[in-house]
Order: sequence, then C-alpha cells, then structure tokens
Amino acid sequence: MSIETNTGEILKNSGTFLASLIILPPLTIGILRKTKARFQNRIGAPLLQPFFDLAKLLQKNETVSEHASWLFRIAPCINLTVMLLLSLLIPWTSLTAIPHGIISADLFLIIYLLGLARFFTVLAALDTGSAFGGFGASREVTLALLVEPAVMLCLACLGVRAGTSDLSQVFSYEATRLTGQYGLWFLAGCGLFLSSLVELSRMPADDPTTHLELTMVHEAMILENSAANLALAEIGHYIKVALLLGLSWQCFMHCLPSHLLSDWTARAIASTGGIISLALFIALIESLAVKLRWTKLPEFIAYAVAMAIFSYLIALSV
Amino acid sequence: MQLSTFEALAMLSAVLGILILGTTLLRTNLSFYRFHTLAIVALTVWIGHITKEAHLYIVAAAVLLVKVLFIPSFLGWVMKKAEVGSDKQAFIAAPLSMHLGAIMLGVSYLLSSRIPGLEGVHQEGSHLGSTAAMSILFTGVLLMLTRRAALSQILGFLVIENGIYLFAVTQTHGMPMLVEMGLLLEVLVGVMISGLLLFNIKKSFEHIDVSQLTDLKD
Amino acid sequence: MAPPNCILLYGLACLAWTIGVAFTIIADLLKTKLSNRLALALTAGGALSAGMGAIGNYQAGIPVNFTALKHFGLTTLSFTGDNLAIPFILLLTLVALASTLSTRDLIDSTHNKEGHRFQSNHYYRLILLLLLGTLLVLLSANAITFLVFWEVMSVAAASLITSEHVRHRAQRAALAYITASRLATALLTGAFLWMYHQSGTFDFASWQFQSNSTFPAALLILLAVCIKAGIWPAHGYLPQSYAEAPGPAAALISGVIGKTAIYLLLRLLVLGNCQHSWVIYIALALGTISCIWGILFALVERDLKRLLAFSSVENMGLIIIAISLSMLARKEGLPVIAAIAVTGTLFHAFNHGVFKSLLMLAASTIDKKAHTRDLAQLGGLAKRLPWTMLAFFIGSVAICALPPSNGFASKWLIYQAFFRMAIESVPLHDRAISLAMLGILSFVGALSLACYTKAIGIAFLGRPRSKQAQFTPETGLSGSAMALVILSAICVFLGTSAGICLRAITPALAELNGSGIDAANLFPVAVAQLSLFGLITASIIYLCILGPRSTGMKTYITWDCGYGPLSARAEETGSSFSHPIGRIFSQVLQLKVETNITGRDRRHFPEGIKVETRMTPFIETTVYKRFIEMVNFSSLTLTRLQTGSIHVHLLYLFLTMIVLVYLGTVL
Repeated sequence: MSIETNTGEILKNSGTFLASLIILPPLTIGILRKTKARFQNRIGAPLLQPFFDLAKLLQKNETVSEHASWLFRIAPCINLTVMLLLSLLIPWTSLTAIPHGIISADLFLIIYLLGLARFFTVLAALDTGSAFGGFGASREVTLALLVEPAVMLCLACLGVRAGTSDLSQVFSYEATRLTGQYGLWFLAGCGLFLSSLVELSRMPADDPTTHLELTMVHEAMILENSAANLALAEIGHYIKVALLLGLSWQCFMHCLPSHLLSDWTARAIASTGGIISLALFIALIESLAVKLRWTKLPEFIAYAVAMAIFSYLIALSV
Repeated sequence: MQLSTFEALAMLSAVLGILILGTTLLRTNLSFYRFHTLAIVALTVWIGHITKEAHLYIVAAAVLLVKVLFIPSFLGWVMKKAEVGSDKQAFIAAPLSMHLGAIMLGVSYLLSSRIPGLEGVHQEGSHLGSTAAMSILFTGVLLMLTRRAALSQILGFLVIENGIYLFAVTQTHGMPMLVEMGLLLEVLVGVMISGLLLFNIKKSFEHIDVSQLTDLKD
Repeated sequence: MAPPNCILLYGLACLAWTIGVAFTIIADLLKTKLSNRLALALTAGGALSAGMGAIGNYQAGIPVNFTALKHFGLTTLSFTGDNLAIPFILLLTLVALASTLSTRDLIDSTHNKEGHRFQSNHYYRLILLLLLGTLLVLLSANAITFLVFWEVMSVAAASLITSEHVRHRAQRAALAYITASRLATALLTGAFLWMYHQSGTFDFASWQFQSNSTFPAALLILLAVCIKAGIWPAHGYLPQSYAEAPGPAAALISGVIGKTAIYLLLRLLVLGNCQHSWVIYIALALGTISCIWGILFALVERDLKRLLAFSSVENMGLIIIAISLSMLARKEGLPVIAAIAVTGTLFHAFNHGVFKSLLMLAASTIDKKAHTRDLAQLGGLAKRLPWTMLAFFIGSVAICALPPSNGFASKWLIYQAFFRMAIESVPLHDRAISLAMLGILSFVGALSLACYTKAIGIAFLGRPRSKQAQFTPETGLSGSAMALVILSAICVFLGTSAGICLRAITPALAELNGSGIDAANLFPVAVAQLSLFGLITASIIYLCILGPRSTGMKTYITWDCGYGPLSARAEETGSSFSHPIGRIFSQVLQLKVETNITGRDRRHFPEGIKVETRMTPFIETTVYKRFIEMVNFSSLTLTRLQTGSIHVHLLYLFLTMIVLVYLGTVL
C-alpha cells in the first residue's frame, strides 16, 4: 500500500469521511423512519428528527435506577467509543479517514470489537435488574451467537480469496485478487446484509417501533437509559447501522462494473447513496413484512449462514 | 474464479434451489421454486442462444409456461383448498437441511469434476453446469427425505425433475423436442394428479403427513 | 546469571516446599496447628524462588541440566530446565502467589456445616506437595522422573478436592478425579514403554515421533493428555472436581494442573515432530467438539464454579486445536503458520492459566461470602464486592477474548493461523477444515460471550435474589481482592503489550518450531495504540457529556410498569437468560422444561406456577453409565475367581508363572 503523500488529498479524504460519519448515521435513520411513515400514509417526522432528538436528550437530566452499578453509566460511553474506533477500521465507505497501511483493519479485531460493544450493552441491560432488560439481553446474545459465524465466514472468505485479513486491503478498489469475483462479492454481501438486519434489530428479527417492550431486543435493552446516557446509546446504535449497512453495500458495490467507479467522487457518491438505498430497502421490508416469531428466527438467520456457506465453497474452489 | 454467464446462471439456479430447503413455509417454498425454475429457463434460453438451436427457445417457453407459471399457482391453489400453510415437524430442522444442501453443492462440485462439459458452451475444463444439475438433484432428494407434508414431496419431485432436465440440457445439445415435451406433459399430469390426491388425503385423514401413511399397510 | 544459580533457585523452591511438608507432618505428630504465616511464607517463598529460577533460566538462554540421582530405578533422576518449561513455571509461580495471597481470606477459619474443623495442616501439606509435584513435572528430563512427580501431583490434587468438606459430593468428585488421572497415567505408561522399546532410552529429549512405528505411542499420549486436560468425552470429572476443591486449590488445579497436560503434549509430540495425520485429525476433532460442548454446558450451568470448569473444557479444546494445527502446518512444511499456532498455544495456555485462576478465586470469594454458588441465589454483588466484581469483569473480558485483553491476543493468533492455512496451497480438505474452523471458533466465541455475560449479569448485577446474597459489603482491599486485582492487571497488561510479552516466548518458540522467528512479529495488531485511543475517547465522552450532567442526576427505582416496587423474583435468572440458547440446542443438551400451572382458572388467575428445567448430560447418563455398568458387571463376574481358598490362589500363581516363563522363552 502506498501512503498518500499529497496532504490535500488526505485532507479531502478525511474531511469528507468525518462529515459523512457525523451526518450519515442519524440521517439514515431519519430516512428510514420517513419512508416507513410515507408507506403508512403518514407525513412522518422530519428527516432530521434524529438530530433534534439527540440534541434534546443531551440537555435533559438523567434518571438512573437505584440498583445500577458503575457499569450502567460507562457502558454507552464505551459502546460509542468502540463504534467510533470501528468507523475508522471498517471499510464502510470508499472514503478513509486514515491513509492505508497505518493501522491494519484486521477482520478478527473488528469482529471482536463488535463483541466488546455487545458485552457492555448486554451487561448494562442486566444492570438495573429490570425484567425487560434481562429479556432483551438474553435475546441479543442468542441472536448474536447465531449471526456471528455468518459474519465471520463471509468476511473470512473474502479475506482468504484476497490473501489478507486486512479488510481495508480486501475492500480496496485498486486491482486485487478479488476483482471480478462477482459471485463471491454478491453472496458475501447478501450474507452480511441479512446478518446486519438481525444485528441491528431491524424488522424480521425485531420490531423497533412496537409498543410492547417485552418482544423487543435492542429497545428493551436500553429501556432504563435516559437523557445523555440514552443519547450516547442511540448515537452508538446509529453509527452501527451505518457501519454494517455500509459494509454490506461495499460488497455489492464491488459487483458493479469497475469503470463506473473509477474516480474518487463517483465512489464517494455511490457509497453514500448505497447506504441510503439500503435504508430505503429496509423501510420497504419493514412496511411489507411482519416481524417473525421468536422461534422462527433461527430459520431466517439460517439464510445468512447459507450465504456464508456458499461464499465458503467459492472461496475454497480455485 | 470468473464465471461465464452460463456458469453464473447454473449456479444461481442451484443456489435458489437450495434456498427452498431453508423454510417450512410452503408458500415461500413455492416462490423460491418459481425463481429457481426461472433461472433454469434463462439458462435454457442462453444455451439456445450460444448453440444456435432454435428448438431450445420453444422448450424454454414451454417450461416457463408450465413450471414457472402454472404448477406453482396450481399448488398454491391446492394449498389454499387443503388449508395447509406450513410443513410442521420436518425430520431435520429446515435450517440444517439447507446447510446440508449447501454442503452437498460442494460435494457435487467434487463429484462432477469427472464429467466433461458440453463443448462450445463451457469454458475449457469447467464443469459447473453438471455441478449445478447434481446439486439440484441432491436438493430435491433432501427435500423429499426431510419433510413430512405431501406437498413438500411433490415439490421435491419437481426439483429432482429440474435437476435431471438441467443435466440433459447442459450435457447434450438438448434432447429431441418431442422427448422434452413429453416429459413436461408427464410432469404436469403427475403434479395435477398428486395435487388432487393430496386434496383427498387431507379430506380423509385431516393431515398430509406422509410419514403417517405407514398406517395404511396391512 | 549463570546456569548453576537457577538450579540453586529451583532447588531452593523444592527445599522450601519439602520443609513445609515436613513441618506439617511434625505439627500433626505434635497435634498442633502449623502457623498459617509460616506455611504461607514457605509456599510463597518457594514459588518466588521457582519464578526467579525460571527468569534466570530464561536469561541463560540454554537448557539447564541437573542429575539428582544416578540410579533411580530404570534410569537417572534428572531434570532439565529448558525454554519450553519457563512459561509454565512462571505461570505456576504467578498462580501459586495469587492463591497464597488469598488463602487467608478463603480458607482460614472455615467451619463446614457438619462442624468439622478445617484441617489446615492437611491442606497446606497437600498444596505444598501439589506445587512440588507440578514444578518437578515441568522440569523432568525423562519419562520415569516425569511419571513419579506426575503421580505426586495427581494424588495431591485429588486429596485437595476432598480436603475442605466431608461431603458426599466431594468424595465422588475426588473419586472421579483420581479415576481420570489413573487412566491418564496408565495410558502414559504404556506410551512411555512403547517409546522405550522403540528408542532404547527414557530421555524425553531423544524421542522422535516421525516414524510409523511410534504411532501407537503418539496416540496414547494424545489420549492421556485429553483425559488429563478434560477434553470431550473425558470432561465429565472436571466440573465436579473444580467445584468441590477449596478456592485457592481450585485456582491452582484449574489454572496450572490442566496445563501440565498441554505441556506434555508440546514437549513430546510437538518437540518430537509428530507427523501422524491420524493423531493430528483426532486431536483437531476432539478439540473442536470439546470447545462447543464445554461452552454449551457452561452456558446452561447454574453453579458458578461448575460454569467455570465447563468453560475450562472449552479453552482446553481451543489449545488442543491450536496444537494440532501447528503439527499439521509443520507436516505440510509451513513453518510460519506452525510458529503462529505454537505461539498461540503457549500464550493461550498462559493466559488461560491467569484468567481462569482469577475467575476461580473470584467465584470462591463469592462462595465464601454468600455460602452459595448457585446463580439463582446470587445477584447484586457489584455493590457488596466491588473489587471482586471489577476483577471478575476483567477476567470475563479476557476469557471472551475481547480486546484489549490478553485472551484476544492469544485467540487472534489461533484465528490467524487458521486463516493463513486457508490461504496456503495445501490439500483441499485442510483448507476446508481451516476455513470452517474460523466459523466454528467465532461461534464458540459468541457462546462464551453469552456465557460470561450471564455469569456477571446474574451474579453481580441487578438485585440480590436471596437473603444469602445480602451479606455485609467488603471493606477495603482484602488479601483475596488484592490477588484478584493483581491478576486482572496482569490480564490487561499482557493484552495491551502483547508484542513485548510475546518476545519473551520467542526462545520457547525457537525450541518448539526450530525456526528463528521472533514471536513478537507474529502479532501486528496495534492493540496498545487502539486501546489508548479508545481510553482517551471514552474519557472525553464521559467527561464532556455524562460528567457535567452528574449533578442533576436523579436516582429512582427501576421501571416497574406502574405496578409498584418489583420484587427480585421478577428479574431475569440464569436459567431464563440461557433458555433461548438452550432451546436451540435442546438436542445436544437434552434440555427439558416442565411448566405446571395450578389453580381453578389457570389461565387468568394462576395460584401456583412451577417451572422445572431439567438437563441430562447425554455423555454422563448414557455412555458413562453403560460403561460403569459394564465394568461393574465384569468385576462381579471376575470376583468368582477369588474364591478365598489359598490353594486356588497358589494355583493362579503357578499358572501365571508358567505363562511368564513361556513368554520369556518365546520373546
């Protein structure tokens, strides 16, 4: 990897990256909610409503359960930190904050950092002794355990074909051993997308807008959080949405003909547009499909695993 | 590996076939079957395009009409009539059988390396067409083996038939059209008869669980 | 430091421990109690001098040989301290010091329910013997020496398991433990005899396992190691024995004793360059099964210590997997991958020793304070045992292999080895296995995350679920808390500065792998920089956003849906937390849930609800039971041979003699 020497280039890169990191995650959620509202024949909240919500939450005074320990307050904080770290590591857009080669975006590191964030979130949910939090936590670890092999296999198969475990090299747009591997990219992308639907607690796995916390996963876990604490947890979650959708979109982007994505601007626009279009797609799914029953979920996740197995077969065949 | 269009279509049909195994919801099964057969139709058209055999176009049109449009709709109608929605209590959990099917795809890749491909259609040394055909065959067998509902059995039979058809198409320059048409007619009649039978089974036994048909023996 | 000095230090350690043993015997004869301070000082002093010996040995850089007795049965009583043994000796030192530090809090003045005074003399004697045996096992240079101290170690460990209580459960546990180690010893003896037959010497150093004729020996060694390490299907004794051993001893047994089996495998099969593919694949398969099996059972376990023991099964499986991968890579001629795998093995063995003993000590602290280890009775301990909570938390982060802990570094190495194996142009099945192992390992990782979030979440967080968990909070930093904090600091240190720590493994790696690769280069992940960055970011977020709001913070009850104060019974319990996963794997776990609702209108106004979850471990109930029944039956049949008549016995003697003479003439 050649380190870009041009300072202007680096500034442009990291500036756009920073802007997209700040704007894109809440905007994605805003778009998702707006689209769902339109599907339901409502006008819906403004696109920037997530920003307003966060601003309001950050000004409020916090209420903490009397049973909570220190974990409860630091967990969202750690969660957000891990997500920020991951946003630097995961190649979720074609933009890069740091030039290639300075820090290796190792895929095992990425997966275990996601695990670290989950560890804290789950413990914070159990911390207040609320039954809802407990249910949410229990479901979260169950889903994670089913999804994790799929995510790992999809990424590892890409890595094996590319001959490196550094994801920034795997997803690089320079000619690599993965150029033209449309089947592998597509299947891995499908696997990652299906897994991220589950990881992000979106519709077939979890309905984030239902009125009953007893059936939820993510919302049940942050039920006790309030004010700034809640805002941090939400920002962390928004960033996670952008990261995972971005990662699966990057896979699909590699399936596009390469001459379309030859220059920097085209890639940047395609990456951003891709995340938003995936959000629109999720809104479509959520408007048309119903939440699956809890016992039926393993069947849904099995499709993600099946995609991973197909990628596995492709990765093995020379 | 870089896939040619032919290989990509073949693999697509195999993958869609395997996805049928993933759920016990019969309606989803049927729509996956639809897409799976659609991929095979596209493949037939593509082979016709490459080998310049015009009769393959007609065969493709007939398959489209019968297996993509008619049979799934007919089976959907039977389902509605017989009031069965899902195949309860598969012998192997549906997700597992799908993963098994995916692994069988790998196995058929290994097995089919001995079978030479059709000249002019395949790239040199590629055998993905027969891999796909064999994998679809395995998928059908798995479907018939692991499920209980009679409708799944019919679906399994249809998938196996697709596998055999794909095998014939990828290995030869298409069978004589008369044979193709005869086969198609046979499948059509078979499905219709078994669909009606299923309806009657449901009416007399209140279920369509074929594993309980062992009670019928003397 | 010159080599003789480290011999001296090793000798000093043995001397201190032997003196300790002698003192306890004298104290017993005088019917007095050996002073705690003296016993602990001897234990710690011995451990320290062993550790210093290991450091001296490391600095010397060459194997240190020492022959104690020229004639010791069939061979000499000789020892060698080489680079491979050093990490294990350091681990022994560390765990021994930690458990010594916490002994006074966890052991002293323990009265059990039957009112039996805890026999401290007996306990110290066994701990000292255990340490002595383990150190000398690690140092043995030949098979006979090894077997002798292996036996000392096993017997001491088995007796320790019975030492605390006169309970039936403890007796059973000890019986199971002793049976397992007996079996392991028998297999090892067979293997050693076979190797003696092949090579004509008992020296470990001259044993090579390349030729076909050594296959039975290699297989027997593998099986013995699997039994000793608690690999599936011989894992049954582990949960029982770890749970029954008194705290510090449990830390030693789970942290170090199991590792001696790993050490043996490294010393014989890896050092002896074993290339039998059967051995490799059997090890891989058994390791994989015990990974999944162990962690699944840990997840549904209610008893905290048993949970930890089952998770040991998983980690041992992981280590065995890594070892078999290194053998495979070496067989395929891929020294770099072999080096990564061996480094992963050594580092993970060390790390597991550290964090498992940490978790064991923490669990024992809970047991000591709350008088129960049942997760359904615990809860809310974060407020009562803050230090223990912190340590347990860090230990869990480490055992779940989350960055920036040491567990992540070692597991990363194992992942990386498999990943590279899948890239290389090795036979298809090897690549297929390697790539599939990545998926399986991540699955196991997610399971262990579930398992340890359950352990922390249920035991430490929320509210107390019983009276027993409402004891008075710990004040200050007691000895055991100090030991825990030190161990957890080591976990973090080893993780964040993995590069430096791996450099220390390099000589051992060079010895095992025969290549001059610097182990520090094998772990290029910038964990230290990332964790520094993360720490700074987290602090900024905390100070800028949460900090200023702390003043206006309101403490209130947990949301109760407006029904009034919730009772602790409304909380998630351990079994309900793991229930969804238990349901998914109900075939493996044989999980059965029976719900019994009584009352006239059962649906809307139940009077009593009784839910019973039952889990019957398949291996224990079906396979082992059959086996034991078979043994019982055959023993009953065989007792007929023992008629009691002296003449018949003489006849047996005579017949045996004839057979032996015949064999002697023929062979």
